[in-house]
Amino acid sequence: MEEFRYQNRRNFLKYFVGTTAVLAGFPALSKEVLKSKGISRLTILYTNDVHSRIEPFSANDPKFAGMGGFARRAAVIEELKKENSNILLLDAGDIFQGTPYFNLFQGKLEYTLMSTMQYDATTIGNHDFDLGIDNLVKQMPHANFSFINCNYDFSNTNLHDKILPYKLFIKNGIKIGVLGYGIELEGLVDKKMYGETGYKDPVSIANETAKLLKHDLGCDYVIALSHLGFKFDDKKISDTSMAPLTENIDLIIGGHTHTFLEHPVKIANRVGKEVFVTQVGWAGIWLGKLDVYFSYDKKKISHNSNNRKI
Amino acid sequence: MKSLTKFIFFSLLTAGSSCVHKTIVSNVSETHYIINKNEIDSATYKTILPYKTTHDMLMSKVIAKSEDAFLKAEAESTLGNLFCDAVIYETKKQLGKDSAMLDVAVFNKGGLRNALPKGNITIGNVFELMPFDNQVVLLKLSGERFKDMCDKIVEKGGIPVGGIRLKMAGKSATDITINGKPFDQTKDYWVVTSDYLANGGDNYVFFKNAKERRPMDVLLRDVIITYCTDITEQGKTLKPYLDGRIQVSK
Repeated sequence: MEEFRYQNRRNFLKYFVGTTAVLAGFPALSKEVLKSKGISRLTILYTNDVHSRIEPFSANDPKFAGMGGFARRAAVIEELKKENSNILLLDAGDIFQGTPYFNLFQGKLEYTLMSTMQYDATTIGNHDFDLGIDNLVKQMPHANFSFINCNYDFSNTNLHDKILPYKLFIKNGIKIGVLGYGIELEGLVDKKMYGETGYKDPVSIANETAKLLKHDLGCDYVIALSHLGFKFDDKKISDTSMAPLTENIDLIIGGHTHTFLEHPVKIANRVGKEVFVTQVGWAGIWLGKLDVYFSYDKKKISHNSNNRKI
Repeated sequence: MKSLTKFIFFSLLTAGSSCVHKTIVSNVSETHYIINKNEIDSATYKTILPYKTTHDMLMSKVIAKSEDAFLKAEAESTLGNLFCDAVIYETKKQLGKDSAMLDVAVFNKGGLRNALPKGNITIGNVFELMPFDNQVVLLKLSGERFKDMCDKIVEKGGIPVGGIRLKMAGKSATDITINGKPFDQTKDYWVVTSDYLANGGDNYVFFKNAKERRPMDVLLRDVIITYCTDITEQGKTLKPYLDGRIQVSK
């Protein structure tokens, strides 16, 4: 596992070949001007691997002194909501584990605070199983957001009726489909903790789900919440190795490898269309922010990425 | 009560909410966190506050001082060295007259979750370093399995180890010495690790074929807390060090 890895500039440029058509001056246009042109803006805010970082890192932390914290993130989200009410607030898993808050309260506080921040959805990360399936079930009543995953088979577990394979959101007339998938648990998580949870290859099931969302359910934009990891040295499936095999997914919000990406990376999918892969490190140090602009006929016409340091 | 962690939770249960009211105020004012009240959402902070009070009461105790930060690194790291050497020290202490049986400590990079700061080390810092409730386990490995483990150390580009020195040459480990003696493939070796890795976690499959397994019935985190306390009681401070235990062969 490659933790704490900043993508260095050279690596970063290798993937990131310009954020395509960022229409000059777009973000500066007021809501009224956008409306008069029939353009709507969706703001996607996202986190991954927050790992129970309730408070900012302590002042003597060697790497992240004073950074992060739920109260500060909540303030930034409030500020962004004033700017644009068409917001989707998403998380890519590993909400649990990493500070004593999890050891003491088993995730109740994390879910409670994410609910008051009005998160829309998350997916399940490997560390969300750290106190077992029954703890997930026990803490879920504190969460008023959705848990989304399509490649774990929970049918023989107590989570069988608590996880959605996908969810639809409608924001200002734009229909957004969100699906989720996670990493293989065997060899990574103690079997006692994930119990009878089955694992399915994420590629085929994600493509099936994305096709359903885009073609049968008419979504204008499809987002995958992934807890596979950004990239591995070996052949293990990752966001970068999976993106070229996908179809009908527009954005992959990733996690697991704690990779800090200044901007989403653009990768061609299996039919040559661009899919964006993004991830914002860990611990809630950054809040990912991607504005997507849609024309009057709901086609994506532009985007602008502007992550916030918390 | 054997387990420190259990003790902490016991304290939590027995600490009446009324009697800690004064502590609430002092804990908040003594907080080590940089919080600019203008930048935070006050409703969120109010929700956190009662949890923070309990958290600070149990976690803010200083158990050691460090002369500099202990960090993670790709191959050998100051954090990994401290962690492994502390586990060997405390496990040998626990083994008493059998202490000579223990040869090496082996952990995984992903298991050490946060750096340790320069200055005051609190119980909370150790929870962040080792948040998992992993137990200490001793494993007896055949020389062959031990060599597999050394090659895995190389494959992973170096991991936290103690009691062993080796060179990474391509895909395999060379110049392996255990406590100063050359590695002997015909011998068995005792390794201290976590129950997570002993069960084959992080794909450490060679541990599954151990000849013998001895659980030490103590949490890894408690071992580190005890080590910090021991060092402090001896009037010493923690000092980061690298000693070339994992080297890249040129």
